[in-house]
Amino acid sequence: MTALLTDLLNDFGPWLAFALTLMIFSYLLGDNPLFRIAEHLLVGLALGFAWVVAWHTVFLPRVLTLIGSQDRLVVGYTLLGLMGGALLLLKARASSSRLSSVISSIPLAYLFGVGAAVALGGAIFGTLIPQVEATMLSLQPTDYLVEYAPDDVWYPVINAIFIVVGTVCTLIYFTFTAGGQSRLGRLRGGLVRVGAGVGRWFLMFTFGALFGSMVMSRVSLLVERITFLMNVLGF
Amino acid sequence: MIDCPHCGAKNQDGSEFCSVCGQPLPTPAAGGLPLSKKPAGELNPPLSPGASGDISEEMPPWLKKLLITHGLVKPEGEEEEPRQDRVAAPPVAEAPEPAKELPPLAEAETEGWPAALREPGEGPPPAEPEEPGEPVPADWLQTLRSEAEGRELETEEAAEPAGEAGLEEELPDWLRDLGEPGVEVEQAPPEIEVPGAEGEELPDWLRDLGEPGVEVEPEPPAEETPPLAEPPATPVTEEEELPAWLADLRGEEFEEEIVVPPAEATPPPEALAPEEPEKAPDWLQDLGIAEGEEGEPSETPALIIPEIPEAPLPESLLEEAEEAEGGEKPEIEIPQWLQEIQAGEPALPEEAPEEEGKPPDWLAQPTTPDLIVEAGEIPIPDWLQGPAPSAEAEMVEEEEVTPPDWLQELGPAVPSPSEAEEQPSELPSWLQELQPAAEASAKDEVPPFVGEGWDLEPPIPEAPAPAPEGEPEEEVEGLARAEIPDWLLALRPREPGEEPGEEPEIMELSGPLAGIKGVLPVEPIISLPHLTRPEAVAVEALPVSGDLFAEIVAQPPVSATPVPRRRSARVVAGVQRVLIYLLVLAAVVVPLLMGPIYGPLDAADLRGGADDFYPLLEALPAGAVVIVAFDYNPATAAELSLQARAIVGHLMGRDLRIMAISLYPEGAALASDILDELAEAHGYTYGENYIHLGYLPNQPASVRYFLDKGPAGDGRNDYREGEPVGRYAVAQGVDDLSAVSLVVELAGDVRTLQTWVEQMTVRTNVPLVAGVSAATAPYVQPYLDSGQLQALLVGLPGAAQYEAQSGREGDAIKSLGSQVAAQGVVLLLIFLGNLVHLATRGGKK
Repeated sequence: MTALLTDLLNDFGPWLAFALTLMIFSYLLGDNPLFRIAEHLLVGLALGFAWVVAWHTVFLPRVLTLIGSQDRLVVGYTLLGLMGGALLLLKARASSSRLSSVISSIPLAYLFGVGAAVALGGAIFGTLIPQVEATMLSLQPTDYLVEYAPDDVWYPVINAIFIVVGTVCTLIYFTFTAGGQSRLGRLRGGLVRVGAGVGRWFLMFTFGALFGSMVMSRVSLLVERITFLMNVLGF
Repeated sequence: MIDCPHCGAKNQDGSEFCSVCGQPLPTPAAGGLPLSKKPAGELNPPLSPGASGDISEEMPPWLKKLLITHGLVKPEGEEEEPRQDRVAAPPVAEAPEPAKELPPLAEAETEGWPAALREPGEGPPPAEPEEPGEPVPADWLQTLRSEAEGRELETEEAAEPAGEAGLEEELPDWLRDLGEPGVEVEQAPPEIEVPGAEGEELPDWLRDLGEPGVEVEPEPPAEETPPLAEPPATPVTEEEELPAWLADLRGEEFEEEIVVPPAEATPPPEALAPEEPEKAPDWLQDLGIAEGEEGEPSETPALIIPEIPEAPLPESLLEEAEEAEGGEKPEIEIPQWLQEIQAGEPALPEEAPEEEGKPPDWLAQPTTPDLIVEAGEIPIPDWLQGPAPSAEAEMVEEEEVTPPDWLQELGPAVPSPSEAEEQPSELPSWLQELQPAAEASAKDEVPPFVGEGWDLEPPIPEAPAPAPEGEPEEEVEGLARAEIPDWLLALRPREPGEEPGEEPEIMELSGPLAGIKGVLPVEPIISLPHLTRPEAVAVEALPVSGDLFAEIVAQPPVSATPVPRRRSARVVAGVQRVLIYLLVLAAVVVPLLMGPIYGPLDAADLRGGADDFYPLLEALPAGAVVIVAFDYNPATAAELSLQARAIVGHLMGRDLRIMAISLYPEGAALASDILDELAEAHGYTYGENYIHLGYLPNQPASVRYFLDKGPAGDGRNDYREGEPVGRYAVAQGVDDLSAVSLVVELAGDVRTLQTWVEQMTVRTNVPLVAGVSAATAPYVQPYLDSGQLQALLVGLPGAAQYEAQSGREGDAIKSLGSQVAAQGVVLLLIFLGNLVHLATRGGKK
């Protein structure tokens, strides 16, 4: 049975994928039932596949198998995690009582607490501090003579200028409280306006780059799908 | 006018002491004019010449200190002034009526006073019998007179109004009215015996004030005598001045708090009479303490005011006094508050029949059998014998006699006389309310009952002008009926038929206000959080924008009606759309069918992350462990699968051990397909050369857990067989992350890449390279610039670059022509669209 199913999928699977791809492309002509069917199939299959993978990869080897372990500590930890997961199911009840809501919030609080702690530590020491350090660049060409040839020193210097100016001006763009009637306030307001203008251009380039990257990524999808269709058709 | 032999100052006729220097004046009246037309020495047995010294010796130290402070007794070694003259000199022209009607004190003590008032163990009073019928000034009157004179003398002598004279001068009338009755009270009973026509001019209330004090006024009790307390008659005075309910409240309050130090030794009775002025009652001594303290007149009010509300006179004492008096009683009216206090006992008749020669009934009734009814020892009721010893001990120990604690507590709250005079606004409101409207001058600060009613003072210029008859009563009555603030009225006890207030009364349980109801609850006000009451905003004050906003909100929602387009316009729009689709399709298909329009692609022409990525993999030794994370799903598989094929193919070509893992369930399946496909091509065996670790939940905690435990740690099972990873040969020696040479992250989402970067950068030094989709590249580029990523592949071009670096033309290079052509078409369409937009001015002609 399994071999037969595998052979059928090998023979008709590409055609099925071809049909589903055309059904998705049919959206170019407007919303239609074919597109909706393909869309629902995609969502359903993705969820079903994810559940199967989670069952076979996580739940089965890490829960059911460990329950039969001889190590009581392992069994205890496993049951504790299983109980926490079961309590989360109480959240599914719309008319849950206050007690059930509180109880189901315990594993949820644990998940959020641990997740937030780990994510916050990683964000600070893995992103914030290293990225701040990355913007502290030297603008003197002599500092780059070790890594670059004297003729190529201008490249890291210009790059450093772009990074520093772009970072500072972009941050200045989000300064909304500049200004004042005093002389110093007017000077500060003028600097902020200039910096914000430069930062706005950096933001425009960044958004343009994001848009271009998005277009390029979607064009790659189109190319892959058309390549698949052509392969199925025998081209 | 009388010229003073000492200073030469002129004094008015009848003056006995110089108003300037205070020395006795050589007037005929100096020996005896008087109050009762008889020398004072005849009223009470005069003290022997050495009496004062004896008294000083017998007096307790604290009393000596007090008297010295007052100037009533000279310190040892100094020559004492002839107090006899002072005592007997001032005549009393007008004595209160009770003083005229009652017999002299000595007679009363020896004859009419009940035995219960006499202290057991002591004989009859040693007072010398005085001549019957001859008016003799009572010792209390002598005390009062001499003390008043002494005050006047000191006042005149002192340049500053400090001391007791200063206190008298600085005291406002209302305070004098409250405080001075105590003087009268303690000296009134002897005066009761003194007949005098002038006494009839005094009002009844003044007589009431003076009479009770007779009991308490004399010398402070000796060691064997219970300590003195406040004179009981003071509340009577207050009763006249204050409402009954207020007197009750204050009487209750001070009854608990009054502590008067007792005397340690009782001087002989015969020695007491001449020294009466010096042996002021305790409460007066307390007053004098405050007066005598140098530079500290501020405590005076604290000493005076609490004495005002004195405990009521016991009814038993009144009854016994009435019995001793034989039913004859001067016009003494028991105040209402006293009648209320003596619940169950019938109130005294308003006008008891007066009996000549007997003290009033309230005076005749002894409180205890120990009381002494003799001339020099005045019976002391029980209520006066309470907590005195402790206060006495404190006063003896201290260098400066300090008032009792309750007075000290009250002291700071009440301004000093000087302060009250200078800053009358600082007085409590209730005191200000009680204060008469007309402020007396400094000269008028002599108590009215001394200067006006009894006329004890010689008509010296400094003395207050005699008030017209009946004025004191009117003042007192006016004072009693003074305007009482609302908050004070709120404290008034409810009458039986009166409706209770809306708010329940709260009784104060501690502190000086203990027992008083209706006190503002301070603690809830302080402790409870205050709620900010929103300010009422007038509707008219709302800005116009508010009305506009309300108007807009009130409008019903309007459905957007599509503008009907012409058929030709719809056709044109459809044709344009189809043309765009066909143009893009052609840009994709034509390169696939015909090959790249730009010809064969050379790897040297490609510039990008592959230049750094590829050498890293090339530098890895054979057999090194490389973790490849397939963190993408079908949405980005078109780019990342091409990268994965190029990278995994390169790894398998280098004979490196591959461990695949994914944070997406779909990524695990995609990884399995790619690995199996390439493994078959490169001759790799599952479990020996590569292994699929399966799905790892897409959470930072799971990645951290994976990095901590290692690829084979914590009993992890593989994706294909479901067996523990540790059993496979590929995982041998890979206990932790240190055995891993490189981590390749194929991220379709920036979040997965951040998770790996953040967790790995902090915990390990394992190199990390990434291949991302083109849409993710702008977000990942900073990690490459910061060095957290060793190399980066971006999208389909990155895969093509890697294939070109590998020298293998794969699907990426083939697709790259379509990619470039499609992107060119997109750019062209954007350019044309902007041209049309500019030409048509956005559809507006």
